[in-house]
Amino acid sequence: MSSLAASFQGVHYKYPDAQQHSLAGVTLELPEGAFVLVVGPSGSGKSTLLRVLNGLVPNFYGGVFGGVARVCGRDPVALGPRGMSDVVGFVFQDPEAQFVVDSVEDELAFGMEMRAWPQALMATRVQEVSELLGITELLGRRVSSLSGGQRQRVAIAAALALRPKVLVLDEPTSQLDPAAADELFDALLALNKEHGLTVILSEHRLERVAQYADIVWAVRGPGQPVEAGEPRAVFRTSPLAPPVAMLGRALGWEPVPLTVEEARAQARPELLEAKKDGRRPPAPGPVRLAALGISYSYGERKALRDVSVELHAGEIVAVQGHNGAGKTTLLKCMLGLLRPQAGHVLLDGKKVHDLPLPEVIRKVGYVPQNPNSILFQETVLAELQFTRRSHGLKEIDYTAFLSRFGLAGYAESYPRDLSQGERQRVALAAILVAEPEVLLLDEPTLGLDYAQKKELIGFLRELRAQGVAILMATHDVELVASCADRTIILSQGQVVDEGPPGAVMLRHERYASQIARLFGDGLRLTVEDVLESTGRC
Amino acid sequence: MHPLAHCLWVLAVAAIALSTRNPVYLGVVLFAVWLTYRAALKAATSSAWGSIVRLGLWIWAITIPFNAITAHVGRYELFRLPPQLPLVGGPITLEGILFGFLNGLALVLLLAAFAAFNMMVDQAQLLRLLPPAFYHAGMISSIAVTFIPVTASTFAEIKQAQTLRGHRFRGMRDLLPIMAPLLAGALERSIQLSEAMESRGYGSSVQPLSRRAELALQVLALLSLLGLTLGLFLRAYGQTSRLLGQLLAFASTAALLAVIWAQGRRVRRTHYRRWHWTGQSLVLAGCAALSLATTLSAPLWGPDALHYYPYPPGSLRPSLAWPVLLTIIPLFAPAILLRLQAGHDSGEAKTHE
Amino acid sequence: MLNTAILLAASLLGLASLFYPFALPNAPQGLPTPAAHSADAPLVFIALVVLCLAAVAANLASRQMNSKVIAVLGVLTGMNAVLRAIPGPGGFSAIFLLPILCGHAYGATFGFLLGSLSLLVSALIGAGVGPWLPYQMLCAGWVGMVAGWLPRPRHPKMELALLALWGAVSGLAFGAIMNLWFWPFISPPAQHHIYWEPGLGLLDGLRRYALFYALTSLWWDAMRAAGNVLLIALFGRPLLQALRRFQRRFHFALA
Repeated sequence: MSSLAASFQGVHYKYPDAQQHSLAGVTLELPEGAFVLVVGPSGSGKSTLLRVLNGLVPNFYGGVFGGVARVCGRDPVALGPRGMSDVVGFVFQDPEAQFVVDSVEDELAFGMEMRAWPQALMATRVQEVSELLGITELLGRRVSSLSGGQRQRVAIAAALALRPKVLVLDEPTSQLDPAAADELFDALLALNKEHGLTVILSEHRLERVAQYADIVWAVRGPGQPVEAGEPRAVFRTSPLAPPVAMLGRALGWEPVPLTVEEARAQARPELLEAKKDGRRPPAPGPVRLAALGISYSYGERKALRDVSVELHAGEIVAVQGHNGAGKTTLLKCMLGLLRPQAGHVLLDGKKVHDLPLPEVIRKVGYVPQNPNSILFQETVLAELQFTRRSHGLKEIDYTAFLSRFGLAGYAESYPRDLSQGERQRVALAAILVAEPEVLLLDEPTLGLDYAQKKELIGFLRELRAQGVAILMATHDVELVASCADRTIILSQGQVVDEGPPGAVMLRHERYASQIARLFGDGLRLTVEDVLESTGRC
Repeated sequence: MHPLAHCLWVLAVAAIALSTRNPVYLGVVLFAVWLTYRAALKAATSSAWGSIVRLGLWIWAITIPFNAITAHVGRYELFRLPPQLPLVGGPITLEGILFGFLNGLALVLLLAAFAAFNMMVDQAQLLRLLPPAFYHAGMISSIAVTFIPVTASTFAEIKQAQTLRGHRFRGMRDLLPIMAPLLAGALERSIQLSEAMESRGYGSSVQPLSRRAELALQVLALLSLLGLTLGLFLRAYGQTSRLLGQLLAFASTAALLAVIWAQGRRVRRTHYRRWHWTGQSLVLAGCAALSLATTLSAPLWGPDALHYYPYPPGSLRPSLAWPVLLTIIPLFAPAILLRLQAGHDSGEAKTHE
Repeated sequence: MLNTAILLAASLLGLASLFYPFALPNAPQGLPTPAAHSADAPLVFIALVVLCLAAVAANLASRQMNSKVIAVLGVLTGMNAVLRAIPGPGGFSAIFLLPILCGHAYGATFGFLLGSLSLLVSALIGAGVGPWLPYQMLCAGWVGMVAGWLPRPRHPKMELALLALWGAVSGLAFGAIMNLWFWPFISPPAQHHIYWEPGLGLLDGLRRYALFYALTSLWWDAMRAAGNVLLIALFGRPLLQALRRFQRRFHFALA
């Protein structure tokens, strides 16, 4: 760690047509071989900061740039992304939008072809990087046949083919499930520790990576200074921190813990005073939607086997499980889109498959994983009107409705100009404007940052209080910990466990939140729970 | 097998189909194509020969009546249409029907040859064989091929989400809630994609030229295109300047090819994927080249080498010229090579047992 | 400027080679048998069309094709190939909607490339490569190119009407021109001398072709034309808005 991998001196940047600076007076130094974690809310300038490293900012976007940036002794602003491509590798958020060729092998060779490397050398490098990322068995595959996690590994391998010294990753796991994200982190750690690669990673899942970072860059907001330091120092004050660090801060632990183990070492007195359940058990309303022993197969493959789920008014039920465990199939069966081969689904006591679809979706709202698949109108207001009209409903006071979602000022905005979190809210509003009594959500927190997630949770609780029955398929254990009344674990199409999240988290460490693992009493699952039980809230 | 060898073969078959109406030649070549198709089928999964036959019947249903009712010449008159009918009226002859059939046969041969070609070659791979001058077009096409599965799945996803939102698809007008997010999503993706491309060094492959050199290339391209057009025009309509037109056309074509070559020279990139010219590929390519060369030089073998003309003064009986064997027999090469390969593979499988 | 001129010249050459069958009746004049020379004519037409496309594609190397343009073209070409695969009523498919709208919003060259490469790509993935492909590419390219040259009236309704009109015209013209690739088969040059009279070659050829066209493909082409009009009328405005908004936001242009 002798020389510098990157240094910024008073870097300023403003996007074209922007009112304010995205970066202002950023001064940073980064030793070679470090593992850097970049944290900050969405829209804070995190992505902009990362894009300065290889010259995408300002070369790709235009705008006004000031200050001095050096990466591996080169000037990214003068050389641009092309000139930096052999020292800085870059991996992007969307695993579906960074491939140029449809075969994995050719994708890995793309950058080398562009630099006119000899064929023999390319063959060696393709072999090397695919071994490094453990993707040798994927080489002959088509990109379209890969899972999201596999795609991101291929993207990393492709970025490493030119042997860069620095690897930059912009929220590479935001579209992945936790298992795939964990594998990706392991691969990155190995590259960093064993091969000395400098890794700069922006990430929302702090609980998983915080402990491995040498340095954290905390971006507070657009135009604000970037704080850099050791993880423990930064997480002492940063508004974004892993749950255990938040807890440690609230309880005044020194130093701030980054892992469950560290927290456990400091938390003995707390652990002893196990309190009774702070959560009120939900007063179950009538059953709204129920699956009774349903099975579904796609040809030979059994996606669901004898699954039963009951959803009451005024409760939030989570469905968890690996990718391919049957979560999506279950949701589709519950909506009447797929007809189970055995068993049936009842909506208010009537068989869903005997009801016409319009009647089902009048009562059952479905929010897709990707808000972009429903947003198409010119304004947010028009999106709401479109849903009301599709259902044949009368117009309502949209302004008041939008303000419930914190979207009051956005009625006339183009939905696709908004941030991911805002789009998610618009999509939610566009479904809820039809006033469904049952709500089905598919991965509602995908791509949301901490604050946006918190808002969503608050909103779901409010809906629950109004008596809406909510079923959500999710990978997000923190979401389940903070608002689910019950959770169902699916594995290979079967229900393997069901119950209140606390009890389920005790039995399945994989699906347990950091705080649940720390206390292990099945009662305290989130920082809020702990603070409530100690009376500090 | 090198895909270029297959390209050369399909070109050779197309050249014959486009050059002759001799029923014997067309028939034998179609037989060669059919054998090739059958041999290639073993490797691939689906069969489309039935659809070629169906398409062929359609083609004949058009070509035979059309030729019969427009060509009223021949020794063997079958019946007459009232002569008052414009164009259509007059005698319907056996020759007219026969020639219509042969027109269709040539077309069927073309379709069958490309069907066999499609079975033997992974066409997306053909993009990688594009000459360097077409670097940009190749890159665009490659991206498109990569994005087709993504777009198709996004399409299905959007349709489902909008249905569940209460939207009903009853007619074309209800497609906007799919089309609009599909387009907006595609545009958003393209920005991410271009960032990814730049980050991996895209764009460093085309060498910049001086303003003057670039201008010279473009002016030359423009002039040769205009020259070629003028040459063709003179060749077709000029009374005395037909030779001049021919010369102008040749010179312009040469200039245009030179421009394309020069543009290609600027592209500095290498190819990861290489196909090797194996013995078999060389044999196939050699056969195809021989056939193609013989077809193109047919006028040298005598004016009637490939020619077939059933109307008077010609005869219904097709003439046969021995050099034409050189164009036909080599076209059996892929069928034989594929059989040999299949025999070799099954022999190997047996020794493994 | 020069680039537009090259596109125009290539189109002129393409047009000339497409209509070459009509010009041929004059050719055999000096030869003993008509067929000896004209036998290879279809080959020549196809070669010429390929040359046109090659000239346009090679000329791209000398413009500023940046990664944004390449990526937008690539992604939209993929989308268009998907749209083509979705069957509509009467064998109609939505392949011309995007080339017309994008050609109008982003310029003639963009429209040309989107049109012709969509055909190439959908042939490649659908195993549809054949001698008809160069013709299809050229014609679909023109559909997008001309849309780029249409005037841009202030009033959005006028603009839409203009594009819809072009959709109808191009739907019919595409079929008429596309049939030319196998027209020489149906009515080979060898036969023309039967009817040939000095000075009537072109006219007679056209008359025969009109008959052939009316017999074989007018119905299909009318469906296509009507489909284009309908699509543009229904989706033209919002999709154009999305395209222009994107262009403003990302400052992208094809010189």
